[in-house]
Amino acid sequence: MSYVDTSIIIAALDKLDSRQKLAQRFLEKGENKKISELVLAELASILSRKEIMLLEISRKIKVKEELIIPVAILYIMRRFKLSYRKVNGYKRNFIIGSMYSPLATAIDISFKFKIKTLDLLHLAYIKTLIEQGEEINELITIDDDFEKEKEAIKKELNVKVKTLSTS
Amino acid sequence: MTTKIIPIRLKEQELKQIDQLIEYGIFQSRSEAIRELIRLGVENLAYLSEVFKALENLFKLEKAEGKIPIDLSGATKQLLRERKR
Repeated sequence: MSYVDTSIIIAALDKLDSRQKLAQRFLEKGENKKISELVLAELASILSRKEIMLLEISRKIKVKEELIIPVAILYIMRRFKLSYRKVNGYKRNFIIGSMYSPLATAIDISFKFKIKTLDLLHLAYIKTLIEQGEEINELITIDDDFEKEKEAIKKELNVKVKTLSTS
Repeated sequence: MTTKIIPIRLKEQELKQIDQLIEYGIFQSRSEAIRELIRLGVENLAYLSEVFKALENLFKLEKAEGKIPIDLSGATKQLLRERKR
């Protein structure tokens, strides 16, 4: 099963990105594609800054403006057959105490990866989902920073990084 | 907290919407979905109904226009730039 990074989904909807068709083809044909709440939050953040496009759509489909972001997210999930998987509960960090599982995991694994916060959080979600029973063996992305860490990701999470590229 | 099993009769359309929520991974089972939706209340069911109607209309819009209606031009660079901050 694949964990789909937000970057692929955004690229599939970005006509200015050279990987748009490649990302669309991957998302349309691939099966067993999982996303986390972090992907949903990044999607919502990007969508929220496309106000004119969203207002135009909400007018066309006759839906209240405040509902257009959840509607757009559900549309994207269905259009690209993406399954949201929630993570459960809290985890005890030995030093700091109890905290939300993905954040505790991010702190635990941080020394193994030299990456920025959001990328680290995606890896923490993957690790948490695996620990909670999901069979994730692939991370699909266009973010080069994951590619740079692919050996560490394979070693620590047993997850292969697949970076879509036109070259 | 103890729970009790109660029989419940639902319209096919309502069950279909609940199954869609399970399909999206929002809930793990019909039982969990119905329990949570009861908690959320009647007002939010109306909200969900509006969301699903809009979702259907968005797919109709794609069909009518012959392209995905959501255009995130320039957003890939923006996302990757923000992640590197």
